[in-house]
Amino acid sequence: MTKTTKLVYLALLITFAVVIHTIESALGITLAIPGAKLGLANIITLLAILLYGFKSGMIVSVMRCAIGFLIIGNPFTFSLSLSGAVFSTGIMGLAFIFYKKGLINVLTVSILGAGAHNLAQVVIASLIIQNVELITFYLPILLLISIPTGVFTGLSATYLYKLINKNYMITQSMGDLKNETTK
Amino acid sequence: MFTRLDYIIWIGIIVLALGGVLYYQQIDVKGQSKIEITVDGEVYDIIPLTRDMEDVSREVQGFIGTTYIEISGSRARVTYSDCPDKICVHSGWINKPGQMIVCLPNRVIVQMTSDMEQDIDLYTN
Amino acid sequence: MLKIIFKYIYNTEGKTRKRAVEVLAVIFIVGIISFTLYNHLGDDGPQVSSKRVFMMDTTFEIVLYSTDEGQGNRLIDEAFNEARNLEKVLSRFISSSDVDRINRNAGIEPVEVDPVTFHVVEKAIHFSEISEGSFDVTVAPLLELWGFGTGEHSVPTEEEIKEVLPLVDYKKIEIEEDNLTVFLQEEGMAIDLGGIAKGYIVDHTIEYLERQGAESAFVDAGDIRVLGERPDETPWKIGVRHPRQREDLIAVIPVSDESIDTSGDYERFFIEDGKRYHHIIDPHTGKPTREMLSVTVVSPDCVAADTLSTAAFVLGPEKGLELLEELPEVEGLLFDVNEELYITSGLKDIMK
Repeated sequence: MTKTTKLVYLALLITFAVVIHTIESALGITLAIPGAKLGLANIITLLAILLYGFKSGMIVSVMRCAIGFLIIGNPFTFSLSLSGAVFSTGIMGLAFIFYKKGLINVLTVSILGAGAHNLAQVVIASLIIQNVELITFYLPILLLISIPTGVFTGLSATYLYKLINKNYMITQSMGDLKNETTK
Repeated sequence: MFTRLDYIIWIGIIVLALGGVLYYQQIDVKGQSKIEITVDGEVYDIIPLTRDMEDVSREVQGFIGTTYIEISGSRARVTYSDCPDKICVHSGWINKPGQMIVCLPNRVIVQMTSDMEQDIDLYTN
Repeated sequence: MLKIIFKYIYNTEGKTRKRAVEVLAVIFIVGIISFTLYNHLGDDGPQVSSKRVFMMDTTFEIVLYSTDEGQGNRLIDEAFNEARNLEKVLSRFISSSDVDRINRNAGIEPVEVDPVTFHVVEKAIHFSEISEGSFDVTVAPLLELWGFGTGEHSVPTEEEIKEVLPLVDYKKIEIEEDNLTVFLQEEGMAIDLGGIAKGYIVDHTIEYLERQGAESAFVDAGDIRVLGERPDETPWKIGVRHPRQREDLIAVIPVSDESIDTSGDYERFFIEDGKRYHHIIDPHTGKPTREMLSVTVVSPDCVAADTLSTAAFVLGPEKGLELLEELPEVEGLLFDVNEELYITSGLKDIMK
């Protein structure tokens, strides 16, 4: 039963992530590189990691990209968003371990996630366009942007997390993760 | 709330980012840059800038004397000039298209131009 | 300040926290909306659509400015379809193409061809006449001899050249309009419509775009033709690179609604015994010319620009300049081996 509940809530998370992802794409917020995104959907990814752990976070990420691509996107934006999502989830997962050990703040986790997200996007974009200069040109500004973006993502994810924590049923599905991640 | 490691990471990211910005300042701007030396309104010499090129120096005879120009590492400057104020010498290096060093008394202009300024749409060859 | 925000969200409860979050949320949403609007500000300006494909043995690029990027892209795709259809007819390398059949039946019998092919051959003969044979599509056997077709370059002997030379003569192409036939009179003759076909396709593509309502565009297949002017209503600026020092420009030519093409000795060549042998062969002597480095021609259509640049290259600086000056609406720029620049009078006026 717990498994099914978790599945349902994961699906809900994925849905939210897809919505955010789609709106982000449709608004056409471009940070210089066509198709590069702000990474707001990472709020949900981080939330998923906080609630259910790294694996769930990765599932949410990948599914979000896949479904998002089906709704609105071309192969170009798909590869950008997938690489950004996967890499940033990976880094966040890694950072999460430090977070659980109390070594860093959750905001830093999301900042690292945003940074990784942008880094991956720039690298893949430059590979596609075959222009290495792209990296040196855009990376610095994107890295700087990743700090406020990361802060915002982190704050949002934390806020949502606190809200959700109040809901008993969800916390039920989290198992013993609940005790470890409250901070 | 925020640990030492947090600050270290943040500073690390900022340093990386700023480092990238500084590094980029060094790279040639897109397109071919050239140093154009004009004396009295007429083009005296045009030196294309390429990476890894050797240093180039020019002695230009102007209206009142000689201006010595040095080009090194995709930048140019006036090392000495016979003019009274030596403003051109104090101008330092120019390293971006559009920038220029002017020696008014001697009527010498050292300017960096680039294809971007020329705004070429296509090349026929 | 970060700490304050963080503390609020993290630690306060109830109304204060709610208020703080609401304020932040509003700021953020307003930020996003204004940012989006700002980003889309340029959306009613000219939109650029472009696409590049590999065709006719080179990269073929179409760039078009319109009010709707999607529409522009669709138009470009359609234009490429048209171009591809033409390629099928004109390519020497597609067997059963008209050109292939004409060559295989040299000295045997006339071949009935597609009206497009006929038209191209007609034009080729026309330009051969104007240039007194300096441009000649029957040079194919010569090109083969020098190895420019196969890539196995070698310098042929004088005898070998003498043997092939009689096969190179545009006057030996017989065309008949009623039946749309082309006949190469002697066995062993062959035509290569390569260059002129490319120009023809470029012309056709621009005309297609124009019929479809495009106003500002260009096609670049090595041979360039522009439609109209840039969106800001200034002429397109075409740079002519120095044949040897490729980072330098020898000229910038403004063009509108016309075609520009350059023939150079650096496009296809090989070096043997310290001498450079390039692919622009003089149909009269059978050898690559030695006087020019590059010739650039501006003309209303691409076929003319392409053929005339080749012809002027073969003719050399003086005769080439003469030819270009004589022809109305044709301008050009010749750069010889001594790096002297010869410019036609019309061009001198509009260039800096």
